[in-house]
Amino acid sequence: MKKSIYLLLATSFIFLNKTNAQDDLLKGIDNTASQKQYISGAFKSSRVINAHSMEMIGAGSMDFRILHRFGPVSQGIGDLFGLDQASMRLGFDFGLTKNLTIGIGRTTFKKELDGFLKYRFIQQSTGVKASPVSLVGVAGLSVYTFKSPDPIKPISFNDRVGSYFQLIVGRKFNNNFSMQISPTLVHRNIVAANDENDIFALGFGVRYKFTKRMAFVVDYSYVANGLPKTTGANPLSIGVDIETGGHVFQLHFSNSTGMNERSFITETTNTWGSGEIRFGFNLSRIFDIKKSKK
Amino acid sequence: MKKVLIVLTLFITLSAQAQSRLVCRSATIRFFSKAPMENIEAVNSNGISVIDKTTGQLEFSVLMKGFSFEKALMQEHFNENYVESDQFPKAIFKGKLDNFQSINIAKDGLYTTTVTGTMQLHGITKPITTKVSLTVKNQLITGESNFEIVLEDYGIKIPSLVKDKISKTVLITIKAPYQNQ
Repeated sequence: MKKSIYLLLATSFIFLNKTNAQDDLLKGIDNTASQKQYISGAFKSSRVINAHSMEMIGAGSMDFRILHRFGPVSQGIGDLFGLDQASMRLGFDFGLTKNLTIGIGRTTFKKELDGFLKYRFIQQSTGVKASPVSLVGVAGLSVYTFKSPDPIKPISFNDRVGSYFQLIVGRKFNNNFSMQISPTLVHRNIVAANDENDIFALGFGVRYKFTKRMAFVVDYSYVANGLPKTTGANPLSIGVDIETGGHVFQLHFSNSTGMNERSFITETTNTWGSGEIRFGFNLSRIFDIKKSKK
Repeated sequence: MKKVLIVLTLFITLSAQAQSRLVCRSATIRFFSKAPMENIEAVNSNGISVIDKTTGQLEFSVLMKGFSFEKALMQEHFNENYVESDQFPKAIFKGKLDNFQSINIAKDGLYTTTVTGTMQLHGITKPITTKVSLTVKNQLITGESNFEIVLEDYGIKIPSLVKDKISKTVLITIKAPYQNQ
């Protein structure tokens, strides 16, 4: 009899202890861990350096982008290591929604106008229905607007046009490290006899954040066919992103001068191996055009 | 004798398990900071909170990424540079409502008391005491509170470049409707 009393008391104590041990009141109620959370900030900017990154600009934001590419560093002090020569692109990107951005720009080289549409199909997320990667599609068009050097032989509009289509698969692996791969097709309506109209390229973008506001970035494209393949001049840019509140500065060294897809993927002629590298920077400033409703 | 004991044991066990809690799954947490350049304001309506009706213990949990801002860039900076949401995904408050026993939550009315506890934000836990009001209406209990926190206390650094533009303190307003469970 006594034995059973002790046993019962012991069991009741065990149960009591169990309930008392539930110090964490939120246990069983706190479902925040399983809530869907989108991963953001894989790259500081909407461009790795030249190529589009997996990041979008926010809805209602405008990204004013000023890009500069200078002459070869190898020109030495006489040309201030290439800084005497500069080509530039002015661009405006508009975030129509969280996942849709359109942009226009104009480059001094061949007075090229370009525009693009960028849509994020999937955003990397955790929790319910998580996705390990972001998937972004970009389609763009560019037109040379320079005057034909020969007044009796004007260049038709059709011959001025190029386009590109790109799919970006990217992942933010941890707080500091992000990587993306972007198969790209660049089409040019007219090319040299020994070149091809359709150029296939595979882009690689890597970001490593080394302080809260600074990151190391690499932007590389492997060009698979056409004239760029034979010259072996695959555009490689290595740089640093610096974020200062509303501005992002992307300072870099590159073997390409191009500032849109047609240009940097198919018109790069310099190589790192021969020391033909140039300094360049992107300046991005975000303006808020439309405030989101709360 | 034996039977009585069994019943007694069961009773003790059951009463201990039937935890009487007040649960809120849609607490609204706002924060506001006034600054010369621009006011910073954000809201999150998915805060979770529980009150133990017997002890007056109170807990809050909120996901930092759930705060939505007027400006997309602000939200990005908030998560990336200030609270570092990837590293510190949640803010958690654990505390106790003072004189909770004296509040008759079965009766409609407005009750005020204080809550004392600790708040964990950006990986740093600090003690905090603030006034709380509880409105009881048709068995629905709504808790409301507001308090100010100093960003530096929680290791949230403001870069020198924008030091004059951003306020060092943030006003937090909380509204949490509870239900019996």
